[in-house]
Amino acid sequence: MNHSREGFLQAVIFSGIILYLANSIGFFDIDRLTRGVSNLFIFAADLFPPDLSVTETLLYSILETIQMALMGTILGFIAALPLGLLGARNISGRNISAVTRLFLGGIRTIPALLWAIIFVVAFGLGPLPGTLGLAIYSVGYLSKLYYEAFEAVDQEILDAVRAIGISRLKEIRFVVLPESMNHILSQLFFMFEYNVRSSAILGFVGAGGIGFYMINYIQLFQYQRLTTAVLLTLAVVLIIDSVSARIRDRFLTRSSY
Amino acid sequence: MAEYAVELHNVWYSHNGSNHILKDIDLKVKRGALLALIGPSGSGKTTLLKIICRLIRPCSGSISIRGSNGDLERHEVGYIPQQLGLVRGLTALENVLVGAHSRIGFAGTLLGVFPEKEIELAMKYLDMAGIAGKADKKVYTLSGGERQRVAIARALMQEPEIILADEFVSNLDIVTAKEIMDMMKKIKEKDTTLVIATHDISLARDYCDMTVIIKNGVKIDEICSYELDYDRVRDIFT
Ligand SMILES: Nc1ncnc2c1ncn2[C@@H]1O[C@H](COP(=O)(O)OP(=O)(O)OP(=O)(O)O)[C@@H](O)[C@H]1O
Ligand SMILES: [Mg+2]
Repeated sequence: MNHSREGFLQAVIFSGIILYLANSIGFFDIDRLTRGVSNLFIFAADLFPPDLSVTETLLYSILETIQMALMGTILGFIAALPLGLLGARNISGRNISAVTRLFLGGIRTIPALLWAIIFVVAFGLGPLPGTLGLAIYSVGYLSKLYYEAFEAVDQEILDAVRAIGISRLKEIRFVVLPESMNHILSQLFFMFEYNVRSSAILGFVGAGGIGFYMINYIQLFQYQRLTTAVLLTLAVVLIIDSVSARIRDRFLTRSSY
Repeated sequence: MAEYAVELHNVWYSHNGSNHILKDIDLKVKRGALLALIGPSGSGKTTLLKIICRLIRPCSGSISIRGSNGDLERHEVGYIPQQLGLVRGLTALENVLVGAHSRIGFAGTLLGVFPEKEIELAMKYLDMAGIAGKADKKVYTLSGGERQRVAIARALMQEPEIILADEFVSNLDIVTAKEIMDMMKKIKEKDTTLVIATHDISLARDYCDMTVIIKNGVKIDEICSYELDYDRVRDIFT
């Protein structure tokens, strides 16, 4: 009937669009696809066995990666708390929060990798620009998560203490922060986990950490060493994820209400 | 000294400019009185209390608290909201200490250090509210009735002239509710004025001096509480 014909038409148009997109990207270039797949197999064969002779060097650099993630997260956190408070409408009012949010939105549009490139240009190679990149990126995200948490603080609690005539700073210290402590900490852990993962790649642009070795191995065709680096990164990320999740869970169940 | 603790004159309120939630409210509460504000859900009780403690401003009309209409200190009015508004992650004692903030500076309290005499005072009020034994318990671990006691202690800690309590004992069992109301009567003897918003007619009749009835934002009656009976208010709630 009319109804199903319309549905059929929609399906045809929709698949047409998808096919067009796939074609323009190159999915129907059979020659290229077969060449690519066989290259993948050659590449995969080159990756094995992993060259474990570089393990020690890589362990040092992965320590640097973790260090960068930790410092970047802490610096970001320190800036995100006040910016989150400024961004929360129920605390700093409509105007200040609008300006703060615009600023934070601006920061967030630039990915961490791009921040790292900017800082490498400014400060030279090494973990310093990487850490700054992660810090700025964390500020953009943590602040947003924080002002959302602060705005979720129960209005009645704010009413009750505002009726007392408490100052804004004390209100933050005795009401807003304790009420949103769970969110503050769990998002901090989340940010750290995220930064460990993304800091591995910052080395690609010379911003320190294990990524620096990865990009070198790629450029020198030392794929077996690359495998070692990737496996180590994977292991470390998994360990940190699970430890961090455990700490977070323990904290949250202890203080949940 | 002013005879009235609270005086409202021609108070209108609306959230959006139209649709008035309170319409032309006149209200006088004698010093040391216990006033019940009764009315069905949505009638504007909470809104009226918020206006009295100046969390929101009326669109028009005047408010005066103890004969003064502006420059008095906020902390002279204690407000206990409908859901109590306690900070759940702080202990009972810490919550009560929040009530002292208008008296103490910021420096020490930033680290959570309070003057010894404020802590003693807080313990005294917790004791008066019958909850001193749980002073160190986080609020989220307390029962509804226990939280209510903590909220009362916090309001007392302000040492206010006036206490506004919203739906005060409505979700407590009768025995606890009576205990808490008896406690409020004792507080009243210190010349503190109490305004209690409630649905509960028998509570208003048994404990309050005056009852103000509002419906749809309009004050429709003001009577001595002992005159209150179900026949008189039945049509208000229907
Ligand atoms: N923030 C708000 N914005 C718009 N309307 C509101 C707001 N708060 C309350 N109202 C409306 O104002 C009216 C009065 O609300 P109020 O909370 O004062 O009633 P109440 O008498 O306390 O009711 P209850 O007994 O259910 O607590 C209601 O119709 C409500 O929908
Ligand atoms: Mg209400």
